[in-house]
Amino acid sequence: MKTTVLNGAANVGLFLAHALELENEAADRYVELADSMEAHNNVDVAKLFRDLAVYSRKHAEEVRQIAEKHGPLPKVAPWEFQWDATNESPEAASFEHAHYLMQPHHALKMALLSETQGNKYYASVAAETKDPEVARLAREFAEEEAGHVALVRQWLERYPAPKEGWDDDPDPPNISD
Amino acid sequence: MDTHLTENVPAPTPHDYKSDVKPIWCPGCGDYSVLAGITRAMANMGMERHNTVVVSGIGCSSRIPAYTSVYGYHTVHGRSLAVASGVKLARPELNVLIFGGDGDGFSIGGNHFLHACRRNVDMTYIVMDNQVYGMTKGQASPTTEADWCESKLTPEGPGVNPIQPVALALACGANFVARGFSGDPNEVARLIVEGVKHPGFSVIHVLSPCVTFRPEQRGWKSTVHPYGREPTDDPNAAMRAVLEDDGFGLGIFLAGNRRPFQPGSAVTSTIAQIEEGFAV
Repeated sequence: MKTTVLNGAANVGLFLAHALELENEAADRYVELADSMEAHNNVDVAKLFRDLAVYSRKHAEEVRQIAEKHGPLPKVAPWEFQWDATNESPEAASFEHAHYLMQPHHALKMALLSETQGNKYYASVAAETKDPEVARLAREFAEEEAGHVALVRQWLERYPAPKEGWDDDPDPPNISD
Repeated sequence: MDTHLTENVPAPTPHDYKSDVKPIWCPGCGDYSVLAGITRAMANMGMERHNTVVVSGIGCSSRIPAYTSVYGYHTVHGRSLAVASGVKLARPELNVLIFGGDGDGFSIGGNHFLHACRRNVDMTYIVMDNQVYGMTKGQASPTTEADWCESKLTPEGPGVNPIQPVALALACGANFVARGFSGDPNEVARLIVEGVKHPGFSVIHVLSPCVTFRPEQRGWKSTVHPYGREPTDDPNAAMRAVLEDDGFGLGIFLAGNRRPFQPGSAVTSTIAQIEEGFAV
């Protein structure tokens, strides 16, 4: 049966190419979001995104080390990656959810979505691949992502949803008079 | 899928095409994703940075040259295509990409757009369309709907029909015409790669929401859809299909076969002779 994760499930090389892209894009995106928050003087959320980027970079490095043992990875064009249900790699936090007044709670909700999508992707590959080594690695990565999901949930308990009006701005950018 | 084994020489990454200048767009702006698509396209093509020039006009999206590590020229409002044409005609070996928005491209630079399509110089124009002047705080642009009433300058809406960029590009003779959406930066990267590779003037219309002045455009992600037809090399067929499209179809509309404009390279006069002509 043809599935949307077919490429990544095909063989170890393609799976690791997908995994490396997934982890690197996640880290890069957190850095971009942190930079964006700094530009808008939202220092608390900037720091949180920066911390999340550090965690993602560590995981990317782990994947890179595993990939090294499997020789050169195939080159895959950005549009040739096949993810489960997202256009971009599933762990890259979406730009569209960012707001210049967002609070740590919102950033963690974005992270929760990203980590959940990452877990789901690896679980899908594990379920659909016919390659036992891909299945083993995908299960391992899915478990690691499940750990991240649990960790972000714990953090979220420290940052409950802010009250309505968190995005009120006494000097909003869209006043034109 | 076509895959290739990596070679020993490290392949460029999107990082290599980003500058140290951090974007100051509003968080949530579609232009972040377009920038991601641009750097991914450049990395995929292995573009030589010293042989690549990005040119822009004025506006939020025209800030792209500052955010890339290739040569950049942030020109004046609406004049990016004129400057880029000069760059490409003088140095045909360079990759020339132009970035801008709907106001810069279709209002202030509208006349240049018509003639750039007609002239068909081998370069690629990426228009980030958010249907509003964002940098000047939210006025109606040439692509704004006639009944958009959110600006105090046009409290009853602009009252005129918006320009259809894809149809206009086809009518004026652009040789490659496509539409992408910032919510899918990998597809934007593919369209840019296809546009750069295709000879002649390529127009890539990218729907890129302005979350500050047009927050309703966040809904575009559920409005866009695949164009659903194979690209044609026949501009008439492409135009007929585009007229049936709702403006949200994504894909390549035309990959034409017009010969790019490139005058002869023979030197016809010296700088001194040109300067003499300007002497009062």
